Amino acid sequence: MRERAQRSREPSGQVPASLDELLPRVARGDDVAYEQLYRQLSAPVFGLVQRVLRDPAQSEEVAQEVFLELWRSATRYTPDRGSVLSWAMTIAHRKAVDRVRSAQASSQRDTRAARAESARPFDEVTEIVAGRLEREQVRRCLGSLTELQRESVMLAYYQGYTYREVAHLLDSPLGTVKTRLRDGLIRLRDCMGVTA
Amino acid sequence: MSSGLNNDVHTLTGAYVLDALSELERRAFEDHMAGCPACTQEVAELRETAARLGLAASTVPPPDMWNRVRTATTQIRQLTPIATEPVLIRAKRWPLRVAILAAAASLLGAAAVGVGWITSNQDLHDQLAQSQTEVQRIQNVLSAPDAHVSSGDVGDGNVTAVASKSRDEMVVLVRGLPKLPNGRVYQAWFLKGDKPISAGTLAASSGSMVSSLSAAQGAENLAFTLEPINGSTQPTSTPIAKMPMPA
Repeated sequence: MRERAQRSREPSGQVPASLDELLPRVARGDDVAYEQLYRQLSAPVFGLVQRVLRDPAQSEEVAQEVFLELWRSATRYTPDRGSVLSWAMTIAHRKAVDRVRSAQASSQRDTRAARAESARPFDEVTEIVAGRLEREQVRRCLGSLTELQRESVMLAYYQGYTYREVAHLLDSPLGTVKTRLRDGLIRLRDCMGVTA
Repeated sequence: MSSGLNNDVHTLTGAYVLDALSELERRAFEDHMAGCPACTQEVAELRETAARLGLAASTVPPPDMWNRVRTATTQIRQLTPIATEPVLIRAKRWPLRVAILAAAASLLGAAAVGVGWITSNQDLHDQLAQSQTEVQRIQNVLSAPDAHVSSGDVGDGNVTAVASKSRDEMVVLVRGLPKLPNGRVYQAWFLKGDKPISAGTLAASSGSMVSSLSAAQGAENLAFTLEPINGSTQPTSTPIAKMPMPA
């Protein structure tokens, strides 16, 4: 899974270096490696940020911040805390969510619309770099969750809501939502065969 | 600290990985995780899992984004490879008079509205309310013939402590510390050996506080922690900084 996720084929058919091979070079200031890293991560990072923020201009701004952060802190990355992909997506999600929360006071999002949309996560995706297999797997594994687990995980991850907000939207007790988020992710982990 | 957090902090791994915690809960969970290898392992696994959800949303960005990213990275220095320890005040050995001038300059900066120290109306209100008595107390310490200084950097900010035995006061001037999460204050501690004695709180990342020096009971070090809004009787989090007492 990780192999496929991290190696996207170039038009030439050559298999580029994996993210885990590229990162130590980026940490040494290698511009070529950084560009390759960008090529592999630009769609996942931009896609996730845009999924949370929606606004394309803001999404590009935040995605750029993410790539600057990856460049800046590549020197501090250690593999024992997770794969490069997981590290990059953690930073991307965090920055997108930070943007949502800092903008929250000024713009009220329509939470009912958000809830309706969260049931259809992949419809708007214009192009998938990671490949159909990964997407199919995610779809299948999300399907193995209970409806409330799935709804909670997707509201938190794709809409950037806090668990309090999720609890409010789903009219559920806080403790229940916390448990659902954890149980939902654990079930996804087992379904995807993810290890760390 | 919100009620019940400690009872079920363990179940917060999912919400943590999904960035679904408030800032305060996130910090509390990270404190907890530091001493919980099982949580650390679970968080790592759930992060890999969440990354797959992110991957499924992949969308190709505008083609010129790369040029903007590349241009920006040419102007940004990478972090030094070794992360500095969280406790990281390096005492500066300044000539006393220079240090006191610097501290006084900081103080003037704090008093001058609009130079970047005062970040909100609440800060302004606090500063003005304090200013009458506190500025006098601070000047009193700075002008003391036996004033001693200790100073150092914390991240992009700095902390300067000036103490005078004859005036029995210590002034702590803080500038540009990390932004405080909601519901938290900085609390200063005198450290006598391992024993912490509260030296007061500061509800802003820049500002000043004055403490009675006799409360220090001959402490050797000063430490700073993040605490709930009313302060704590004992530190409840790892110090963000530690420095020698001015002497």
